[in-house]
Order: sequence, then structure tokens, then C-alpha cells
Amino acid sequence: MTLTPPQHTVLRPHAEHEFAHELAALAALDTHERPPNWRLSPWAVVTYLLGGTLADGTVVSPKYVGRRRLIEIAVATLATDRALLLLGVPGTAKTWVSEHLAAAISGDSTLLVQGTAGTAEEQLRYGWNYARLIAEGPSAAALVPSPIYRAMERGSIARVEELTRMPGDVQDALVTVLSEKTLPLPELGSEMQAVPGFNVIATANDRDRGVNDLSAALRRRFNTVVLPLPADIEEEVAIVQRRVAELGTALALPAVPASNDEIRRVVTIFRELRNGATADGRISLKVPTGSLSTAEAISVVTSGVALAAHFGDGHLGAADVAAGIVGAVVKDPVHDAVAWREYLEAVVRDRSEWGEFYEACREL
Amino acid sequence: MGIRHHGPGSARSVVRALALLQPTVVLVELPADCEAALAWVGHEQLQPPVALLGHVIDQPQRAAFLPFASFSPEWQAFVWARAHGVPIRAIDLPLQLSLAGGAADGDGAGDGELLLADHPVGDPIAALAAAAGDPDPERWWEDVIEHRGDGAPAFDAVAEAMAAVRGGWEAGSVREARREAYMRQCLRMALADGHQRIAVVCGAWHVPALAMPLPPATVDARTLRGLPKVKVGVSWVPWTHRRLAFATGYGAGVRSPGWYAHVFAHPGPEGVARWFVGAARLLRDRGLPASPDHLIAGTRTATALAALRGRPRPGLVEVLDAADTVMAGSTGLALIERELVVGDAIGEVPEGAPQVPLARDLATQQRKARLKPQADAHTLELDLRTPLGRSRSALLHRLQALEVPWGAVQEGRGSSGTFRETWGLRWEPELTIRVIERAAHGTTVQVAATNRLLERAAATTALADLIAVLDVAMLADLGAVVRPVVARVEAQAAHDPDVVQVIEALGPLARALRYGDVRGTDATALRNVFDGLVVRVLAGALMACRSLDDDAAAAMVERLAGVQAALALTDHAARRAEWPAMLTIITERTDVHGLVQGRAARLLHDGGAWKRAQVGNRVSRALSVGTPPAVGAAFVEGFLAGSGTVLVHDRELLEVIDAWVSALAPDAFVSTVPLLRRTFGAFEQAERRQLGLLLADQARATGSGFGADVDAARAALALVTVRQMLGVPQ
Repeated sequence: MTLTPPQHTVLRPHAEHEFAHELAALAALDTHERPPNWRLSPWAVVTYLLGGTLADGTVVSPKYVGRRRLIEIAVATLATDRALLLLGVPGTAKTWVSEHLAAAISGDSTLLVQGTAGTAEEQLRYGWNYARLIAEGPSAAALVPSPIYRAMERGSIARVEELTRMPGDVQDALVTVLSEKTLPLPELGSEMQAVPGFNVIATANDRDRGVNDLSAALRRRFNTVVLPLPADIEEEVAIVQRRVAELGTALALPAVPASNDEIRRVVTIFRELRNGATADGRISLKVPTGSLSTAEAISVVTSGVALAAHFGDGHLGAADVAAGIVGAVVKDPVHDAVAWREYLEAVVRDRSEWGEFYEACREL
Repeated sequence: MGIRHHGPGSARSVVRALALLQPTVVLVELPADCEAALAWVGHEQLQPPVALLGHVIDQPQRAAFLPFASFSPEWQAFVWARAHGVPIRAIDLPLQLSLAGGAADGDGAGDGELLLADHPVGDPIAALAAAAGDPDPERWWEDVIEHRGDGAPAFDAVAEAMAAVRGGWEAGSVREARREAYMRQCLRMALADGHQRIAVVCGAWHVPALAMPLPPATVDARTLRGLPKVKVGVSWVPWTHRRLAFATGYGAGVRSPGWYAHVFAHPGPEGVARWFVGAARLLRDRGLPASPDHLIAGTRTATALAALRGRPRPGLVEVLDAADTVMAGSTGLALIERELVVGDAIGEVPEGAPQVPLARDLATQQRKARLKPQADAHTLELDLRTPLGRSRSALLHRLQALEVPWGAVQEGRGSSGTFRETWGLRWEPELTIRVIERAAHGTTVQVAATNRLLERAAATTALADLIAVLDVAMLADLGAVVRPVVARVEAQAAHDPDVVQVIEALGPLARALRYGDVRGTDATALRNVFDGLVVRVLAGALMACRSLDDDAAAAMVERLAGVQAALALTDHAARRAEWPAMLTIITERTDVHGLVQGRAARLLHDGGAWKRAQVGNRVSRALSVGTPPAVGAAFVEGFLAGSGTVLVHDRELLEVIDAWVSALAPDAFVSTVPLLRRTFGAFEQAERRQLGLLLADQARATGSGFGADVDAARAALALVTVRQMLGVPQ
């Protein structure tokens, strides 16, 4: 049973649907050994994430732009049945990588637990259908499985988003699952034993506000891969460009040539503010409170494209991104506003080719 | 057998191939004049990592190093040959020739690197790796050759591959041509001697050059004719893994000797697990968590990564990646990198092995002083009142004199301040090289240090340098240096027109005098010189204090303070009469900078030469109408320099200054404020607050630092100690 309409009509299709042809082509050509219940071999999973051209000419688009080493470690970890923890500041594609890993390995990225401050243990283990529980007493039929329970049953990958946002005691419900690959069901006097292929990918963010640190016991059960912010400006520009193009298609925006110069400008501004210094290292800057991640740069450019398409002249210009940038940078009305004004006056004004952008920001 | 220098797989293959071939002679790519030193291989005290050091006899700084670790194929070949009684011959161009060539190029120091790094190993392997589709030549070689270690077949493959890359026996450079010509000559000689099975261990690059059939001998003879020669001494020196590591800059090094040693020792598949066990033990030793669970996970991740990357078995990259992800965030990773990947091993050389005489004497001295050279940094506390402490200190200082910085004095009052010395020791193998460089100065540490210091003294005309030499000589207990250097100090002080230099010499001399007897140094000669210098200072001080600009004055006040301290330290007679008289003149002269005048007044106050009223008068005069405000402010700055305490405790003085400030005309006040601020801004905050309170009349000066309720019984106990220290009868 599914509550959602067929995949081609939804706003954002799951990875396994959106890239179904790539996965199929990889599966067909994949001669490497596959771990039990894996749809693809580890080698093919890495290729799926990092992109490449297959023997039959199918082009696999890169899902993650960054160091190959990290993806290799992540895939190797899952192949050893140790759980994987993707760590990083907001907007470093943790969720994105986790979704694509699950899609490539299990063909299903939907077994997802979203961690919040209100996440309860039932969402990690199992809950009860109370009508049945009262009517029949504890029975397998009255049990409502969690995504993790179902992943254990099927031998697929379960995803836990924002692990550190859950309260510490709820996090620890994972310890037995990860070390014993077993979920005890004391009410039924039995247990749920995981099928090979089961594993957990968790994402967490160790620097945000309002996070709960992982206990040492839980941490020890994870292999940790830290996803860094893009190393250089070219890499980041490439990421933004590709994602903007993909999103534009998904959101059915009128085709607006996303100007390379504008994207570069957005990325430059974000990087400079994030690093607290201009790219040439000559002017030091106040660092705004927001994370100013690549993900935010993408959304700034996308909303700029929308603006240009619906209200502008059909070309992404300085004025279209200006509004988005200010919104992304100024998260704290006092401190960030100062940081932004300083940046505007000290850096933007003096860049000769940024005149139009400067004016646009001043007008806001 | 084509090998890669320091390749563990190559080393294993060499051993296996030698066992299979049972050669009657082993030829090794090693300078021919090192052959004699190879006799020491097999001695139980010759433990790798060690290096052969060849140096030009007259110019020890021109030297070449040939390091060997236990996993070096050459070393394994030596060991095998020694164990099986098979003769070893070194067949590379002798150092006599190659070091002579270095002189022509004028880069003696770089020679050690050249000698080993001139095989363009990177290039042929890179070419092969690129052909195999691997962008990383190091990794490719490791996968294809080093990880196999299956003996002779690997060498055939290497020979074939190198022949393909190189295309023949012709060498790329003149130097290479000479080396290979020499190798071929040696090979011919071995053939002529009737050896049937000859094993040649050399860099992979040279294999095609030595392949049968050999080119005509006359060509090689021509190449080698008429090369210049030098006399070369060859000795064994201990080496370390750290020196072997690429990171420390020697060519033909390896990035990860610790890892290679491990791979060599544990070639099997269980090697990775063993490595993780080693890592865990290391971490636990340092109190970091490392559970068996971590080890299992690490080993499995490394293996999975290797499989994923299509490598035959986990290499260093996989192991480190796995450690990184399993123990993410642990501070232990840097530790692993340092201790396990590079490693801390240090080699040993038997005592009788060829060594330079100075090094041998040093070894004896070290044994006498019970100081063992260790590669890791550690501290040593010396009590100079004990004979052992003194002899250790002298040895360390002598090495300092020889510019072999085994240790550095870490605290204490700079030089011979107290009876305690704290040394930070770390024996770097480079120091062995320095010792050899200094060999020309003498055959024992004492003689060499003495000669080196005398040489330094002779080379300088600056009094400060002479004093520094003297200082070291006293510390190092080199009596033979003291007399001639003292004589030079005397002569120099007489001729030196600049009294400033003389003043600066007083400080170290005073320390040497005051504390010299802790070490039992003879100090009479020193005392005479010191007296002579004091006379000169007294004569020249006024001249030196006149017509100074602001910066010069600031330097001068410190010198004056230094003189006072030196006189006090030695309890010199001039301290009571001549020096205060001198200061009085300085403070009264109008052509002396205000700062200097101020400090002179302060020194008189501190030294107790002037009564309080006298000081007050002088200060008040400096601050009164007749003195330009700038001079007055400078005077105050000099007078108060560094501490406001004098003001806090001296109401009279404070009132004088207060009255002066209050009485300033508005214009004069404005021009003086910056100067005053400079003075008062340097005070401790607490002092400033106290001063402020005093001026605001909120607190009465208590006159003494004690509260009302001093515990008489406890104070009496302290007084006993103070009396003892001052030598006052109870």
C-alpha cells in the first residue's frame, strides 16, 4: 500500500526511481561479487555515487562530487555490516549520500526514521496497534513495525536522519540492533533477527544547536565518515550548477539559463563569509551565524531562477540572486546584519564588476 | 634481481630467490669501497636501521649516507650471504670517485641525496603504472611487486618491464653511465673469477644495463678512465626510521618505514590484524580507548576497502582509512601516524666497528656519564653538586661547544645560574653526522671542543662573542680555553672604543664569577678581567650616556640596570663608591637623555645610595618649571620604568608627581599626557588601581605589605630560614 501517487507525478521522486535506468544498467553489467541481499556490488555502488561511463555507453551521473576515498570508505563499511555514520556540518550532502547509498544497495531509500527532539523509542523499534493489543493481547499481528524493524526483516538498509537530534536514551535503543543485529520482543517472548544485508546509515550534525551527543557505546558501533564542505570553489560551483539544473527540471521552472557568473558569485560570497576572509586572504570578515552551506547556495540560485522566470526578464541576473543571498546570510537580525553590511561595503563595493549586484543589495 | 630500495616485498623476494639460486657470489649495488665495512654485517650489535657513511677524510662535511633498514633488500642480501658464507661484493662506483665528482659540482652536502636518488625510479614506474592504467605509481608498484614477494618470477617480470621502459643498456646521464660501467666491470670480474651462479642485487632501473650479454668492456673502461679520486673513510652510523621517512627529506626514502617494517615482518594476510593490534596497544598505553571491537571493525573495513579498490591486500592507505573511520575523532590518529607509520626505531652500531675517532670517544664519554642517546625527546635534571651531574653537564656543554646540540638547557637562569640544570635531550641521527663533521677538530670530545672554541674566539673581534665563548668554556669545564680567551677579552676591551660592548660583557662575566665555584672552575683570572672591565665601564659610562636619541636611551637604561645587577651579583667594591658617584653625575648632567637620568636616579634610590629626600628633590626638580615637559616626562618614565610599586609605597614621591601633574599648564599637560600614559600604562592593573585609590584619598597607604594579624610564631619560622640564607647569626 502506498499513500503517494505514482512516482512521475510527485514533487521529488526517490533516488531509486529518478535514477532507475542507471541502477538497472549498473546491475546488468555488474560482474563483481555482491554481498548477500545487495542489489549491486560495492564497486558498482561507488560508481553509481561518483558517476562514470559504463561499458555499454550508459552515462552514470555523479551524485556526490568530492573525494572518492570517502565514498569508498562508506561503501566498504556497509559491506562489513558495521553501521555507517555520516557526520558533517549542515548542507554537506549527508542525507543525499545516505539516500543514494540506500537506493543503490537495497533499491529502497524509504526505510527512514527522522530524528527529532520528539522521536520516541517506538519509532526506532516497534509500536503497537492499541485496538488490537487491547482486544487480543500482545501478538505479532498487533505489533506495528518501525522502518528499522522492516529493514531487518528484509535485509535492506535503514536510514536514520539527524541521529543527534534524538534524545540520548532514544539513540541508545539502536545499540543492541547494531551490535547483535537483533531486536528483542520481550512482550512476545521472542526476538527479531536481522536478515543479511541489513544495515543502518545514520546522519548527524555535531555542531548545530540543540543536538545531543552520541554515547560512547553507540559511537563505537558506527564507522564515521566526515563529509567536508567542498574543497575549492570550482568543485562547489560545479555542484551548484548541476543541482540547480536538476531542480529546475523537477520543479518545472521555465528554462532560464542559469548564468555561470551568478552561480560563481553566490558561491564566492558564501565561501568568503564562511571562511571569515576574502578569497585572496586580504580582508578578514565577520562570520555570520548561518551555516552558508552548498545546499543553501543551491536554494538561493534556484529561487533566483524562479524569480527571473516569473517576474524578471528570463535571465538570471544580479537582482534575482540578491534577495535570496541576503535572506540566506542574515539569519540573526543583529549580528548577521552587521556582518552582511560590512561585507557589502568592504568587499562587494570595491569589486568593479560587481556594481550591479551591489546596487541590487543596497536597494533591498 | 631488480629491486626497489627499501621495498619490503623486494626484500622478501631477494631472500627467497637467493635461497633458490644458491649463488656463489652476491653482488650488491653499493659503492665498492664500502665492501670492507660489510664484514660487520652479522655482528649482533649491528642492528638496522643503520647507514654506511662515506666521508672525504679531510672534509668530513662532504659525505654520503647509505641507509639500510631491516626491510631493505640490500640488507637482507648481506644477511643471507653472511649466514651462508657467500662472499659479497659491492659493485657500485666507489665513493672515492663519486664524492670527488661532487666537489666539482660544488654540492658536497647534497651528495648523499644524489647518490641514492639519481635512479629516476619514479619515472619508469610511473610509465609502467600509466600503461597499467593506475594513476598512482607507488601504489601500483606496491600491488604488483611488493605485495607478491614470490621470488625469482617477480624479478624476471621486473627485468622485462624495465627493459621495455629503458630500451637498452645505455644510461641516461653521465653519472649513471659511470656507475653502470663500474657495475659491469665488477660483473665481468666476477665472471672472470669463475663464478657460475652470480646474484646481483640492484635497483630495478639498472637491470637492463647489467643484462647478458654485456657490451664490450673497452667502452666501460673508457668511461671510467681518468676520474678524480679522493680519500674516503667509511663507517657505520646508527640511523632511524624517522630519517628514512620521506617526510624528513632524504632521497630514496620511504614515506612509511614503520609500515614497511611491519609488512616485512608479517607478510601474511594476518598482517593487517596484527597492525591494528599494535595500534590498539599503542593507544591504550597512552590512555586512549581502543577495544577489540575497534580492531575487528578496523581489520574488516580495511579488507573490504582493499577488495573494493581491487587491491590484492590492504595497503597502508586502506589501513589508515579504516583506522580513520573506525576511531574517528580520536586524538590517537596522529600518534599512530608518528609511531607506527613512520616509527621510532633507532639502529645500533657495535663499538669496534669503523667509526671516526671522535665518535668513538663520544661513545665512551656517554657511557661514562651514563647517558644513552635516545631518539625521543626527554628531559634530564642535573644536580651540579654531584660529580656525576657535573660530568654530565660538562659533556653536554662540550657537545654544545662542538655545535652538536644533543640537548638544550630548558630553564634555570640561562647559564650557570643555580646548582640545578634541566636539559631537554633528543639524539637525532644528524648529530652523528655533526660529530663526524667535527672530527677534524680533535680525537676526543674535550680536545675537539677546546679547539673549536679557540677557533671561534680567534675568528671574532666582538667582545660579546668572546664573552659567549668564555661562558660556554666555563660551563663545559674547558679550562684550557679560559686563559687564552680571557686574555683576548682583556685586549679587546682595552681596544674596543665602544663601552657599550664592555657593559654588555659584564653580565655574563658576573654570572660566571658568582656561580663558577658551584662547578669548581678556577675564577681568579676571571676576577681580574672583571675588575678591569668595571674600571673601563666607570670611565666610559658617562660618554655612553650622552647625546642619545629615544631608542638608544631606552637601550641604555637597561644596560645601566645590567651593570648595577652585575656589581650586586659579584658584590663588587665599586658598587658602594664609584658606581653611585658615576650615577649621580649622570643624573645631574643636562646633556643626558631624560630617560637615562630618571633611571640613574631610580638606581641610586634602589641601591640605597640616595636618601628618600634626596630622591624626592631630584624628581621634583625634573618635574618643575625649568625643565621642558618632554624631558620631565621622560625622566618619570625612566624613573618608574616597569613598576608602580615605588609610587604606591612612597607617598612623598607620589605627592611630588601628583603636584607636578596638577600644576601643568593646559598646553603643557596636553603634550605630556602621551608620555605619562606610556609610563603608567605599563604598570600592572592592580598597581594602577591602587595608585588611583591613593590619589582619590580613599585608602591610606599601609606602609607595609602585611595585614594587622601576623602570626608571630609562623613568621619566626620563616625568619630562621631567611637568616640562614643571608648568613645572619640567629
